[in-house]
Amino acid sequence: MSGNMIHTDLSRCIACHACQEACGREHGGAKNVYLAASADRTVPLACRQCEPTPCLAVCLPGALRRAGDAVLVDDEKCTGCGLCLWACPFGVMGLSGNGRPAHTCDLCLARLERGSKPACVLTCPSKALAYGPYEDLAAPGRQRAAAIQVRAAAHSEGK
Amino acid sequence: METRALQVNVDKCIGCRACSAVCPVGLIILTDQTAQRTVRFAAACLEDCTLCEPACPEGAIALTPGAPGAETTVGFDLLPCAACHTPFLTAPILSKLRAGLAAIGPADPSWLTLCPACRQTKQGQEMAGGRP
Repeated sequence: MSGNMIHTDLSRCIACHACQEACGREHGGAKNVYLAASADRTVPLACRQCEPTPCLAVCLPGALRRAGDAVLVDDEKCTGCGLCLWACPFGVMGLSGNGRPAHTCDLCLARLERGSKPACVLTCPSKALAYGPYEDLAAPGRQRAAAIQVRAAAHSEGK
Repeated sequence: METRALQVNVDKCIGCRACSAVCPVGLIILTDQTAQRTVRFAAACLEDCTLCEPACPEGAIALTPGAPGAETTVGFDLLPCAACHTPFLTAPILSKLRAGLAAIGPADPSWLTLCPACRQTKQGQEMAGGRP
């Protein structure tokens, strides 16, 4: 467990859907990135590789397993029962078009193994997505957010 | 391959998608119509295949040699999403999820009564709300 994750800097997301398309290309059409629209933003969502792992806890055929940081689906074992979809706290598991197997973000493990990054991260044109340890990734976003707050305060004082 | 009867224990069936998803010849059909889920099982199976029997998480399906009985139909009310009210989940599946999750986390995971789309929306709002 290296503790690496895909991190989202929401202030950079331009809702272009490139991450979704890249994910689909990488996974034979199955898109594991979802874009949730909130009041004034679009939020890219994908599997958080939870620990403990709700989808894995309810998987009856034993088709889900952890490999490093990722939760993986065994396509042969998956029956398509759908329990993992209903167990996922974030609604980010999917079923393939013909009902099985289930699919979810695998962090592009094959890419990681050859020293690359997840396809969504590589594709994101506005650098809203990054892959690495949480603390390394969250800090720059927090610093930028703080700088924006400082500028906004200075602006309103200047009025 | 001789004809085998497709026997279903209707009391055990939870209305999941496993059998209908694994059946390669469409002998088990799951249909959702507004707030009602119907799973229709053919009376017999002629194929050289036993996928549905082990796929059933409840052991509700038995393929037995011999003459077919009658076609079986199981019906479920679909519970509505707590946020958007779209029917999406059968009560037996909800019970099964609660039991499965009790072992690893909160006794009553609040998200279970939300449909996946509303879970995404909630997550998006929470993430967006915390940042400028």
